[in-house]
Amino acid sequence: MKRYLKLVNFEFNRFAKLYAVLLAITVVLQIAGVIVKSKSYLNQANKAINEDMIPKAQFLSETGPMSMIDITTSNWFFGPIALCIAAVAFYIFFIWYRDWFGKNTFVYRLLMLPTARLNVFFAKITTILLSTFGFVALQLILLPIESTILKWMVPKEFRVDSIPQEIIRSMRELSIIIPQSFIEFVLYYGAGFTAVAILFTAILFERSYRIKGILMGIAYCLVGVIFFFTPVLIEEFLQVNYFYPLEMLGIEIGIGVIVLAVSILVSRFLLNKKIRV
Amino acid sequence: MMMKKYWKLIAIALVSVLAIGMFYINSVIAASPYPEFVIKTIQGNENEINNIVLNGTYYNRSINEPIEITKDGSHYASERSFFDRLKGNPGKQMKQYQTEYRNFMRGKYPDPASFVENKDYLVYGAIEYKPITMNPGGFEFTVSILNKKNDKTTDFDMDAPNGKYLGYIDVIDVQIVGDELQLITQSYGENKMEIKLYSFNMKTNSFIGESPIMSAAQEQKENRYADISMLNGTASNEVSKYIFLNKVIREEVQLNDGSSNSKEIDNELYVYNLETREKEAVKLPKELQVQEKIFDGSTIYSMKTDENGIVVTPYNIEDKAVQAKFTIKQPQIDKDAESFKAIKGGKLYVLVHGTDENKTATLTIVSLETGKSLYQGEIVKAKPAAEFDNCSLYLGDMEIE
Repeated sequence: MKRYLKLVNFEFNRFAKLYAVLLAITVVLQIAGVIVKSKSYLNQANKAINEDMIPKAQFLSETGPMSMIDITTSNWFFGPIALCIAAVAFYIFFIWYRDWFGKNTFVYRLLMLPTARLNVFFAKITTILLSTFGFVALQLILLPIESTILKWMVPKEFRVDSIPQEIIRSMRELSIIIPQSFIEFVLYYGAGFTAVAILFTAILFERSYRIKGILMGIAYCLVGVIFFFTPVLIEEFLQVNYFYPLEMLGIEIGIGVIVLAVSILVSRFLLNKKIRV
Repeated sequence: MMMKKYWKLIAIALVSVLAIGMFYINSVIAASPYPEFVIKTIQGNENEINNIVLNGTYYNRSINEPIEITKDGSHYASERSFFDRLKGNPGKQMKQYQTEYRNFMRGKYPDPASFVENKDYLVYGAIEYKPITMNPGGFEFTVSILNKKNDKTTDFDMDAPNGKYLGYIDVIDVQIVGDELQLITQSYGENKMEIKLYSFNMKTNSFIGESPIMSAAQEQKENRYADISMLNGTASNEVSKYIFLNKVIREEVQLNDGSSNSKEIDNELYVYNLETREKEAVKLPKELQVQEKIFDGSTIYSMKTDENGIVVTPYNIEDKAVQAKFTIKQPQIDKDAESFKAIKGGKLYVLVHGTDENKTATLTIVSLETGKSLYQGEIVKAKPAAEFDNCSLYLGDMEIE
């Protein structure tokens, strides 16, 4: 356990600098977005009311009041989120390959550590999961702050206030990242965790068998995904709905756990017996 | 020492757990951000609305939320638990079947029109589209019969006759007459719409035959459309002796501004007796013909909105006579207001949409026997009306258990 924690700490610290930059970019861009959007809305209102002499009530009914939804639908808001998603996706691969292609093949030392090699796998996947949760947490902290800034900038009669839950629900992408209930949160991120485990196994196939391993890795991913969706595919193909939704959920959770367990076992085998340095 | 070395890791883990944890705890305990809608009684006995569910959508700028209003207030879809949302909402009756007859209901599409229930049997009849079978057209009848006494289920399938000529076929009602199971279908193919009855023997599980009920050929004139629809009335999962079919011919009229408007050219109403298999035209007085109609047993109720309210004229098809009309008084009447009507247990339920911002809709329940109003209520925002200026409520369906 202590070895594992040390490895997680080590992996996380290697990512920390890039991670801090991503967090900073998100904070700066999203808050700048609130300010810029509020300012431009106020300018528009000002121009309409003071220059074009449109009555305030008419302006409000035509343009509508300002709300956080105007901000979340702008690129200021989703841009940094997309950047963070891309960074995590990239890092899923980079977290392994940097050990081989970095200075003085670091992987050699990593695999020689007096601990189960699978701990390296767990440490890396924990780092991915934890940094993802960190991004989610940052967004949850930022939403009320952004709402408050909006309240400072735009007078009450020109805005509609909404609570974070409403803001999230109004945007599909956001409600996938932060689902409505905690159960869904666990299910979504559990599925994500399993997907990362499959990708890690594919990477280890490649690191074990190189060129041939690429094909094995791709095949492994396909088999994993098809196996996971088998019950859904069968029902779709036969055009029956034999299972009630709750039963289907139970089956899918069961299959997900199997896929995850197989990925971990295959990864252990590859790390212990087949990995090439 | 330990803390110092691990601080980044500890910080990110702690912040994540706190922020995500707080968010979900708050989601559970925080009050709904949406207004509460209630059915406010104006007159009558409150117990009359115990069995009513109004379904609709709440709009507020970019937000639209499905909402359900009952006697106990309103429930938004987002307030439902994950498992509740996953189960879906096929309506009270179908939900009750799914709990009571879980295995029988497995794999059956929960559409009330596909079910019929009497004291002995619960029957499901539907058309399934199976393009990968050898059957031309791919349409297949699927019938399941549950004997409620011994809890035995009998299933059988049959290729739809003349399937290759059909573009589309759907079961619009399932009925039981004695030992006979009847599937009433609506199909479209070879330029005509047809209503047909397919009968099966429930004792031997065999196909008896098909009888045509009605058809409407596609009109030769380009912009004319014929349509046959079943009249609404008694819940479709209940046994009834008659079905009513409304044949309407519409003409699309091109207006000067480029838009088009459809005009009713002809409107005929037929009654089909499921026991004798006889069809008869229902000769309603002319002014009733074009009105909205709903049936209960052997009586057709025609409805028209005038300045006092909704005027209901009953017509009994057995003695072919118009009965005394009565008026359902409406507190604020709007001729263009959309309304929903339903009949259950000898009562007529009318839901009328208002156009006023605060008074969203009215609900009236009338006894069909006496024509007297049993209940009248308004659907209104419960408390802070001012806070939800931009919001509106659209009710799209009324369910009576």
